[in-house]
Amino acid sequence: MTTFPRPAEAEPCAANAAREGARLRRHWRELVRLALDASDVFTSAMLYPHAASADRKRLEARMFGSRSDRLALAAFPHTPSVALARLATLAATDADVTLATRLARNAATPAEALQTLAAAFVTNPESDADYRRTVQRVAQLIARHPLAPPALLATLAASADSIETLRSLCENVGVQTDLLAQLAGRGIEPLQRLLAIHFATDAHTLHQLWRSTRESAVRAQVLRHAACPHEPLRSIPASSPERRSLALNVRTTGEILTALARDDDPAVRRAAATNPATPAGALVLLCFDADTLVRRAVAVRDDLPLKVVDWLAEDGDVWVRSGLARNRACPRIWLDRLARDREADVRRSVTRHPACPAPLLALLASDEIAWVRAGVALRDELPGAVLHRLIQDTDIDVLAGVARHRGTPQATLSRLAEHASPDVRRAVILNRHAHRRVLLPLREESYPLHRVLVFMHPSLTDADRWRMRFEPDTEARARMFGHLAAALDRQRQHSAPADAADTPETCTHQLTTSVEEAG
Amino acid sequence: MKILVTIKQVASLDEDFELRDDDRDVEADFHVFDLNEWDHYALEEALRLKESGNSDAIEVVVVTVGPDRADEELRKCLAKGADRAIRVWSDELEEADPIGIARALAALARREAPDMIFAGVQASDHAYGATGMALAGLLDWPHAAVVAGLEYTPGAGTASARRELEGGAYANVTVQCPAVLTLQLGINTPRYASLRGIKQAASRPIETIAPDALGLPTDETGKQGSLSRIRRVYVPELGRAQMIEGTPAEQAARLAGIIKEFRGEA
Repeated sequence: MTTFPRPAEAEPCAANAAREGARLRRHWRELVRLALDASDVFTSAMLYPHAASADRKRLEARMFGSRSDRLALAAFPHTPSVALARLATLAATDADVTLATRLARNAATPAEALQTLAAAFVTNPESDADYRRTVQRVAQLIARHPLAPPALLATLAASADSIETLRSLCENVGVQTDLLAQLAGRGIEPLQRLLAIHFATDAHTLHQLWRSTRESAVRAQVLRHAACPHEPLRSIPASSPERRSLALNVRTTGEILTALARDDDPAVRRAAATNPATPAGALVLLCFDADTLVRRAVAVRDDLPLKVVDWLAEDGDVWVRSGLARNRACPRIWLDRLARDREADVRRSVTRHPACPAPLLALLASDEIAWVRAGVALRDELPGAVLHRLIQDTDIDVLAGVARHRGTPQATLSRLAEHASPDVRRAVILNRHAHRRVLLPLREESYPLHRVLVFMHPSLTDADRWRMRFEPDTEARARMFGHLAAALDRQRQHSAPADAADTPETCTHQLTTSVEEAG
Repeated sequence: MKILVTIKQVASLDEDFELRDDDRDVEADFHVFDLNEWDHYALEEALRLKESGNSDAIEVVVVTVGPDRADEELRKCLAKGADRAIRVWSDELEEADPIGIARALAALARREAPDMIFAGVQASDHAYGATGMALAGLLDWPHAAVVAGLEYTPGAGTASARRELEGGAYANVTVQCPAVLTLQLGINTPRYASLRGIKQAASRPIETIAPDALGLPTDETGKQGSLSRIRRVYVPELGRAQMIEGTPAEQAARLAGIIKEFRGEA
């Protein structure tokens, strides 16, 4: 609830705002100092987007001072995009192709930086053969980059003279339909299969591809494409890969799917078994298929008729029964029987059934196999008595499930937070309902990933996180500094207008901010 | 009772790198340094022995041959629980091969007089797999390589080691102690250093010693004490494989043509 100050409180409120501003500046200065003193440049990079001009210059001197640091930053997956963009400019200025290659490979490199790299390296005609080869690699990486803007991809498509660059374009999920159509129009055979796979390829282009080739690998991809034109779906092809693709397409007619369910090739029958459009009559045939993989595919369908469930529930294959046991189409009466199956994997699957009833969960919580009991412990909704029984368990998998459960008492979580197994302790950290007091000791975890997870936990206060700023692990520290800098930035933005206008919200923020606790 | 654990700071590479102008190594800008993976296991085995009995009675000493930056790896070992750290270095050791490194380690081992020496089977960067066994040879100590399991009571006259052989076979051997053992990945589960350990290790002293102070003669130090020399490092040319496109019949015809070309029949 928002609280507003009474007139008499206005003066203390202004003083608080001033103190808060001073504290934010002090914390920021400390972060910058720690980053500049760190043995790596990643911490500096995480502060860079939040730094004002003077600090930005100091951070730049640290980040870009040596080539090895530039190369390290260009390859680091968490480097902020603004730092990557600056690196792209440096790579272009210094004609550093290796740096450009690393930047083009980094999935976080932003569109404008890719433009800079392309302008400096890819469209630059003068150079010797070795240099061209290296530059061609940059072109391929940009052509494949998910953040490459459509205009740049079109330019690359127009100017590319290497088949590898065109392949990269066809594999880029960001390529648009018209560019794919344009590439298909060039009739380059090695690209046809990739074009037929791309989800953005439209029906017209697929039709062109279908008409222009007899190559089975290409036609098979056309047949399984969501935008496959109607014509190819109306007849059964001779090649096995094409029939398999036809059997996978949800727009294939029931009549053809029924025929494919009788195919000699088990891979085709398996594909028909997974297709939601396959008629019930064909499913009956498939559930008695000699190939276990076909029956397994039938067992996991969520539209199984009850009669088919009856047949599959008595199948000799464990995976068929397991698939059925976790299938929402499996009714209670069969779950009762499968919960007493001789195979532990089947009983475990019953615990994963979306509507497994409480009495069965109680039964399986006492199973002799820990893997089955762990399955019960992983369920969100558990009767109190069942959860209480599992808390007494000693198996690590079971305790890890208990530690993640939202109903587990905080006292139990505190005990599990001291468990010898890192799996159990990690499960406590991953429990979104764990209280702050449970988590605080886990800030001293030996495993850096655990410390990062604790740091990100919503139950921790900013003050708790601030105390973790001396993190020794390079990557963990970078993640934490990125978060702390962003939090300080947000608070600065909140308090800045408040300083000027002295609005009531300033006081509210003062009362709710928790970084002050760290002092 | 003292266990000496030899470690190495290894260099790993990212995908894109450049070679030095003399073609004898990767350009230093592209090195990313870390503790050799095998050495985590060697240290863990020593720490487990220390913790299994009277921990005060067993001293675990980590040692490396390397420049200043190798201190970082020694501190990681101190953070995990090693008692002391020693770094042997002089510029002459820059071009030492595994035998040259082993000579420096042997000189240190003679001074330290440990009851057991643990090393990793190999280093992940140069992968010679020779330093540990060369050290045993120079000391004239019993040894066992690629140890995947160890039964040893500190102070005992012998140790039983399960050695990993080719083809999934193992050999159980008994070695007289003191001995040099090179330990294989998976022999144990290495621990992570605690935060407190890392903080304490930051201020712990690391003894730095030059090879001549260990009595290693100049003609046995570094390049002069080495038996091999890297002549050239290179990346083999890529792109020699080629996909044959077309229908099966076209592919078969093209393949037959290539075979004829190689036979000189085409």
